[in-house]
Amino acid sequence: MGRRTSAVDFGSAALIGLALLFAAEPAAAQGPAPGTEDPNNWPQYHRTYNGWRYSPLDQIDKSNVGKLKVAWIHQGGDITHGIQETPIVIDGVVYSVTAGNRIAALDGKTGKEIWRFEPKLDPLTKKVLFSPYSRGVTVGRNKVFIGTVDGRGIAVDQKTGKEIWQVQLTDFANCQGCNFTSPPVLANDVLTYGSTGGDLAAAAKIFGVEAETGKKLWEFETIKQDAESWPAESARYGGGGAWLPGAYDPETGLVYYGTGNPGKDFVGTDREGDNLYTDSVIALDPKTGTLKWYRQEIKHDVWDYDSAYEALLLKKDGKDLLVHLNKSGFVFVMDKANGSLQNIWRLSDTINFAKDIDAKTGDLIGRLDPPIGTTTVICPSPFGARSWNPGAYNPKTGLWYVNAMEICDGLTPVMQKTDPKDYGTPHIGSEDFGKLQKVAGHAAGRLDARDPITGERKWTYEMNIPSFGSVLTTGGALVFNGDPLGIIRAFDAESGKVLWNFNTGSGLRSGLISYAVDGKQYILVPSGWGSYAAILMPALFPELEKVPGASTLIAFTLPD
Amino acid sequence: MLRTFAMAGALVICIIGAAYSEDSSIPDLKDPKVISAGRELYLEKHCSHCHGMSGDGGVNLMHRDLSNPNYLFEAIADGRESGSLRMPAWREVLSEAQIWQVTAYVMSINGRTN
Repeated sequence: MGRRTSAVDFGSAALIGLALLFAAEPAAAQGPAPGTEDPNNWPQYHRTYNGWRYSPLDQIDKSNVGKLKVAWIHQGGDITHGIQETPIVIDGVVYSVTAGNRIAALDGKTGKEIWRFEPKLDPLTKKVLFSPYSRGVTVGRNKVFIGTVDGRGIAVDQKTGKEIWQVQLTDFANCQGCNFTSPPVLANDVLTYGSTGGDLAAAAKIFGVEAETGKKLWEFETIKQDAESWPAESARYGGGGAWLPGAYDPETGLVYYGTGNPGKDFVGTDREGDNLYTDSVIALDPKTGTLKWYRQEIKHDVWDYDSAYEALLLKKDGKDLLVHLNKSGFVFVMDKANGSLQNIWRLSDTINFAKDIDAKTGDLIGRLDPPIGTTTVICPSPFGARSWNPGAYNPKTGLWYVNAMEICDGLTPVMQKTDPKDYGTPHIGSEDFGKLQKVAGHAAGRLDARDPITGERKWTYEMNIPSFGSVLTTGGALVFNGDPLGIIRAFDAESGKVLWNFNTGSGLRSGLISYAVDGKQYILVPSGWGSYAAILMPALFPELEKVPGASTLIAFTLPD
Repeated sequence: MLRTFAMAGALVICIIGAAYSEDSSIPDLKDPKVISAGRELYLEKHCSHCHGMSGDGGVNLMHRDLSNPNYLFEAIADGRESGSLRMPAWREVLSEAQIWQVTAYVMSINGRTN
């Protein structure tokens, strides 16, 4: 039940100064992005390192998208926590990972399995949070790489699926189950793996590994060893998970990661300080793990506002920019050379955890820190102004297509008596995740088409239930987006008009992609509802309680 | 054939029921002190995270039959997988007595409506 509106909505008190300067011309003025040389492929997590999620393929366009039909369906095995991956496609072969790190290579024309690899996981994985989440694979150097939910890195042969090496990276059994839920980043001959950490009694790390051998090269602690930032023993369980894929930028030679919230999420009294490097964008030298720069978006977070989301890279007026959404609803536009702020705009219409933000310094103005033992309504909710699933940028329209949600949460922080030693108890400083609430006068979910630098809104599509999936945009001037009930829609990228929809049978929690084989374009949709959204959201949207789980890849194409 | 299965099923339930009623290690599940202790554990171990403070969370206990103590004990002890959702096992985290306490609290939710 969606509604489309066109709007020019600057929607932000922070939209000042430099934003007006940038608004003079569209954000599309730049050359072809690296990785677009072969438009038939989707070779990495966001297709290109710049985080665009843009396929240049244009065979499927506004005139014919209504004729899409199912080409093939593949079942991915275990449906626990659904299917959360963004598949990879290279030279007509789909590389897919499903729950429990089950990897499969599939024929892109038929969905027929070429090979399969299923690692034997530590039985502890059945007890830990964020298991068996598997968000993607990395393909390169004739290998397929994964990070596992028991904290290992594994490489298998790209042609056969036979294991080449494996290495234990996290201290899985002794760190309350810290593990990998996302694929590593390949930076030439080095892989980087970011571990989970936030919401657990753990401190996260990013690991550098030799891609050919699996030899560990370095570790970077996302929790800075600094008594001013982390008094007493608070750094020990500081969180700061780098739980989503980073990106390697060959222009700068740096790997960008976003880091998660500090622990305990909602109680900051025992960790007075900025709590570096949580809630930050960090730039690392992949050869050494040396920190080149960081931008902390939320200092001393007590709302669970991770900075783990994608880095969208754009060129504008001779500047190389990094656009980055924080869960708080603020979008930070920074110079990718050093993280210096260029602008901040609001994706969320409903922000009350701070009265405002200083667009020049990034400092919060008028914080609302929820007191311990009292219920305080905080907006946005800890699910964020958007879930972790990325938006998509189309260079033809100069627009960033991004999901948003307007949901608040009645939070009651409590001092957890002891730090949990088991694997199933979160380390969050609350006995539940609060009471999720809708916002009067606002649709709970939206798909927005925005100028990524100013935040100016070109069009929006409203939804009664927010999307928890990733967006895809294509050279056919289309935008694809799915919802938790399982409906995938194709939109006109210029106007937001819905041109096609299909019921996939389970909710969307994954990354949509497009590829081509033998001159035929496909839209590939992983369908399968799961994760903590599936556990917690039915309290606010009861219709989600009945959405079945699945782990299904559905490929669409045009009739012959 | 169906009748045979039904009789066998009834027999299993009777045996479980007898075991439950005669096992002295099982506390009185209607004892307010046991229920209160169970609620403390329910909150401490964040059962409330998914099920809500009063059982009315995202995985809503009020929509479930909470009348069988042995079933509840085993679900808490060994975990549950249902559809795409997974509940972790608590057998090696909580003692049997503690699992019975949580069982008592969960059973006390039975019949409430939200």
